[in-house]
Amino acid sequence: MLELVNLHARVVPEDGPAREILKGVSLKVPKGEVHAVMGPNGSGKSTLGYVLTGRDGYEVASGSATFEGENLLALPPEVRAAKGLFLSFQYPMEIAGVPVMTFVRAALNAQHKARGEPEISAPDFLKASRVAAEKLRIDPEMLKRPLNVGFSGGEKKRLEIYQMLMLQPRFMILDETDSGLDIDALKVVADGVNALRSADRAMLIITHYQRLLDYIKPDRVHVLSQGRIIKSGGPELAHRLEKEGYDGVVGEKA
Amino acid sequence: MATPVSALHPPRSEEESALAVRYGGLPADVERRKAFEAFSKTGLPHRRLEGWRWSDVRAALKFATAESEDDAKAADLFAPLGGTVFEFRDIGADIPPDGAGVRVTKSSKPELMDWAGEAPLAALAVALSDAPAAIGIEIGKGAGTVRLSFISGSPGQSRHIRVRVLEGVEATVAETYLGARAFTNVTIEYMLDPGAVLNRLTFQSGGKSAVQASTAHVRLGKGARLVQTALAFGARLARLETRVTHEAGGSEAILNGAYLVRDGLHADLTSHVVHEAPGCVTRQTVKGAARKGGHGVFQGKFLVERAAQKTDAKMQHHALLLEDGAEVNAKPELEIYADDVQCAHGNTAGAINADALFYLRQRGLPEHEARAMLTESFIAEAFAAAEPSVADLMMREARRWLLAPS
Repeated sequence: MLELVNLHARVVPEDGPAREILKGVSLKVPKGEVHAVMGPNGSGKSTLGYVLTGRDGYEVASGSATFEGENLLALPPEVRAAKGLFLSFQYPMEIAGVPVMTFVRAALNAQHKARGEPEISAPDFLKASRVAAEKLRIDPEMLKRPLNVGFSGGEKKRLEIYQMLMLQPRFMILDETDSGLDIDALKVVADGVNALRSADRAMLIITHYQRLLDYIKPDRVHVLSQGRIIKSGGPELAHRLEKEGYDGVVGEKA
Repeated sequence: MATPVSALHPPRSEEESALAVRYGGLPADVERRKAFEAFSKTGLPHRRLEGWRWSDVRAALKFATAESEDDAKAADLFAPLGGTVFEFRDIGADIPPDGAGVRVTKSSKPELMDWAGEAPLAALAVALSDAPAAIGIEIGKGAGTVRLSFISGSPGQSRHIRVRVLEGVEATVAETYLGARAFTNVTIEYMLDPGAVLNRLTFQSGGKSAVQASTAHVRLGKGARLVQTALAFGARLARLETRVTHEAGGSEAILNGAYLVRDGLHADLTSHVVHEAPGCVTRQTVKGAARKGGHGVFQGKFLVERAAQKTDAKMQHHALLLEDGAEVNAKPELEIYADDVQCAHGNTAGAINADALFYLRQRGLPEHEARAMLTESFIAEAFAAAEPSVADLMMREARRWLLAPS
């Protein structure tokens, strides 16, 4: 479903020189699978999420990224979103004055429009919202408040997954979704994510810790270090990392 | 006898000569002469005049007779509010008779206000206002919204209006300034009796050949309250100036507004608040956004006199430069002579937050919609003090502007 071949990417800050972060990442995530990308801080995990979703300031120098055979890299972020790419942000943005529901409905309709589908009706939208909120144990009042404004870290993460349930993406990238969550919230969020697992969807879970992977079981685990995937394996690799640390596993290769 | 025009300061431009001719054609009157003299001391305000550095009326008026492509299609935003409507056109005006809670007087004699020396355009409006020279509106209990609509095409108009809100009454006055071209120049004096409340709403939308100036002076009696909300889309030059005096203590003024300017348009929100009496409150939140070629101006001044102890005054102006080539000038000013006061101001100008923009686009919003949503979210605070249905009207109008192609 998603295929990266020898992807090199750099961050171009507004001031200061460009820095190469991804130094040849190759990765294949087939439909129906959940892959985890683990790695120490600064290894390029978040950059990978941003490059795939088209954030400004992240430049691809060489290599390719295709989604269902189509080159992703030339498309603006909203087109990638309409094709089904969703990034759950590590730090979701606060948008004052725009209620959650208003925003999600605008986003959903924009995606429908881009795909040539009809607008969702108000009753259908409200019904879907109620179901998603119940699943994630979100107080419906929260959905009337401005997006993320004054929400706790955990509430923001829950709201990312709420948006995911509402938008029904086909490929999900979860960037450090477990940070800021206590164990109960983690279970609720994982249940929400697992509800979207299906044969025609796939997922990339970016995480520093193995904890989240106890609740969202990956099919494959990749270790990213210094901009390269240096090791791939089954779910047991995550447990090894937890036990031996990145140094142990990374050192093995050298 | 009016002073012969030739005895006054000689006109400095063709446009000033035309104004002098118009003055000369009006019935001779002592007050009118004083008003024209007050204006003539400076003439049409220009960039070298204090308070007009970024709003050069003299230069802008050279364009005010040109045909304009964008002949004003803007409708009166406040029409849904109904109420008593005064419609002022270039020639003639619809002035309603007395109604429930509203008393209307028409005066054939001009009357100059004592602050005219500081406001040349306001003095000019009084000097050139005729038929009637001045209109008085007294608002008492049971009055609905009073709407003042100024709609100009050619040759333009000058008006002088005095509004009094009686003791303990809450009034809503909605002003609309529309027109594709010509010079509209309006002076409005508001007098709030003790305990009166005035919700003042202003909507301004002019074309690239229009110069629209409104100078309002609001006198707040004991415990009176002004809640002002403005939305300005600009014109060749639009100047909405509000002068407020806290005269008697315990009064409050909220002076909010937003300007949204696109290519070729200029909107200037200027205010001058004088705290004469102790224990008064002023709150000001002005937000602006400018696209390429648009020019926004904010000038805010709080003057706290020695006697005005326990003054509590806060001023905020924040602007978004939506594209390269947008221009915003701001001058926040505090002048304080009392020692036991709380005064503060904040002033920023910046671009749309790139992180927020990416967040919205990642969820599927096209870039122009995402920008509109973020700008709307930025502007919204300026409408927050207005009644919710009015805030909603203004927000919807702002949204339309934001989603329109440039």
